[in-house]
Amino acid sequence: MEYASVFIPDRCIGCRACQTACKIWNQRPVEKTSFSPDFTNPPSLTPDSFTIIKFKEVFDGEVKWIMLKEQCMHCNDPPCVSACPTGAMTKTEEGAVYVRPEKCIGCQYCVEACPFDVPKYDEGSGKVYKCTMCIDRIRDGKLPACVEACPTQALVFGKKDEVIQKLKSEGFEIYGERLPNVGGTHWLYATKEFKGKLTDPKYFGLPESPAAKEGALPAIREFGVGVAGLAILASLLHAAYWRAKKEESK
Amino acid sequence: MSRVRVFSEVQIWAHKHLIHVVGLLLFTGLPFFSKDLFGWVAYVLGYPVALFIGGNVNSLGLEVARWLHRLAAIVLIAISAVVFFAEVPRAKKWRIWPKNVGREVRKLLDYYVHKKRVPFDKYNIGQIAWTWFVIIGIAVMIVTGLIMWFKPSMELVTVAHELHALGAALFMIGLVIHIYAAIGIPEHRPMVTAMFRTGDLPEEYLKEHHPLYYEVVRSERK
Ligand code: HEM
Ligand code: SF4
Ligand code: SF4
Ligand code: SF4
Repeated sequence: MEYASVFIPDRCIGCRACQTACKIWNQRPVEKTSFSPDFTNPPSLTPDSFTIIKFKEVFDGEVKWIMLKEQCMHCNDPPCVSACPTGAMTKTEEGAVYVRPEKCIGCQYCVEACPFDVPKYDEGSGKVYKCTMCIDRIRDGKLPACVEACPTQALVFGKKDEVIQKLKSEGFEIYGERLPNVGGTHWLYATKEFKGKLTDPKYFGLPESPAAKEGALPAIREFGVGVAGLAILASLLHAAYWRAKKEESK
Repeated sequence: MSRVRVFSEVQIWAHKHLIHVVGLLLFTGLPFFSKDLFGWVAYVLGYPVALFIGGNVNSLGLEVARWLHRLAAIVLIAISAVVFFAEVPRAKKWRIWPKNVGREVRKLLDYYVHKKRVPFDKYNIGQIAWTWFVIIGIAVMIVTGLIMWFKPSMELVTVAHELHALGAALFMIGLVIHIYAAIGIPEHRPMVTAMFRTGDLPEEYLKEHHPLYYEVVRSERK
């Protein structure tokens, strides 16, 4: 059964209860923050902050504040999982993508591969951390900690197809149902107020086409293994050919 | 029978240690390159460590592989520096500048495909291409490897990673051919002895396989 969480910016008041609840549930320490001109704090995801609320001032006739919750998108075809050499980065049948710290070697291949810049490397432990979609809570029948904490229902959680159907029938525009390179995501964004603006860089700036950051790497590896195999075969054939020629000329 | 010196002590030393160190770099890089074919390397390296400290065998193995890869990388850089300082001052004597590429390629095919007797210089065009590949390839592997190691920026790392993997792929392919040409063809045995042990070749061998170079050697003797 696949689940999904939804962030509805129309309802977000920027209280950051989700940010705090996430820290508490995942037992991440507080971080020293500094003054940030746009109130976003910390200014980006960190190994200890699996989610942040981004504050953005936009001018649209009048000055307006918009909020964007950032966390792992829990991609359908997660590039971080295919890049991970150890199997530490795991996708569950619920659609959650999480790191098993005991398997992570801190190689940061996932950091390289993630088109949303989500996994963060922690110098201290030498491992990578990120949002788990609260898989430990979901399996226990609970809501994700951030969803549970939200006082305004800006965060919604449920079975993926049911959630999508409900939002659509209510007239919401949805981001994340289908996306190039990652298939789609299990974190969705839905709006009525900001239709057409979820992917607008002046507003929320979510990527219309998440970059396939692994680039040619998988093809290069296949090329290497394949052609080296062919070279071994060719060498064996040549060895036989060479010896046959030698017999011939005797 | 008199013998002709073709490889210096430094070249013999560098070749031997390049084998060790590039072998180790490939061995420790390959479990990252292809889990399916070389995943076992992680188990081989991880199992003994897991006996002592416990933990996930596969992850431990990959962690050991990473550290060995970095250690080997430092040794590779050291060997490269020695070769650089030993070889650059005598660059005039190198015989690895390609000339008449079309004709040389045809000669190479005549030799390997038609098994004809062909007059080569000190190195045939295949050997020249391989030598340049190794020089440039090792430089690229060192630069891209250092970028992946110290991660100045993730954008650079992504590009370096692709180049590093491409370099490793080409090394794998090239080494298969190089090793085959050296030890798979019995007639080349004297060259293997020269490269690994003595540094010199019987005059007869040179006359037979590299007559153009033999002429050079003779004229230098006069
Ligand atoms: C001929 C020399 C070398 C070979 C054949 C080689 C081979 C490889 C291979 C096959 C990989 C896995 C790539 C992948 O598919 O993800 C790799 C990764 C890597 N190599 Fe090399 N390598 C060489 C030299 C170096 C050097 C000189 C350095 C450092 C100065 C280096 C540093 C790295 C690093 C940092 C990685 C990423 C994995 C990790 O974090 O350990 N390599 N190498
Ligand atoms: S957003 Fe990044 S870390 Fe999260 S599942 Fe997708 S690729 Fe992985
Ligand atoms: S840093 Fe950890 S989770 Fe990320 S790819 Fe490497 S082993 Fe996998
Ligand atoms: S789902 Fe859980 S881990 Fe992810 S942001 Fe919400 S509280 Fe944090």
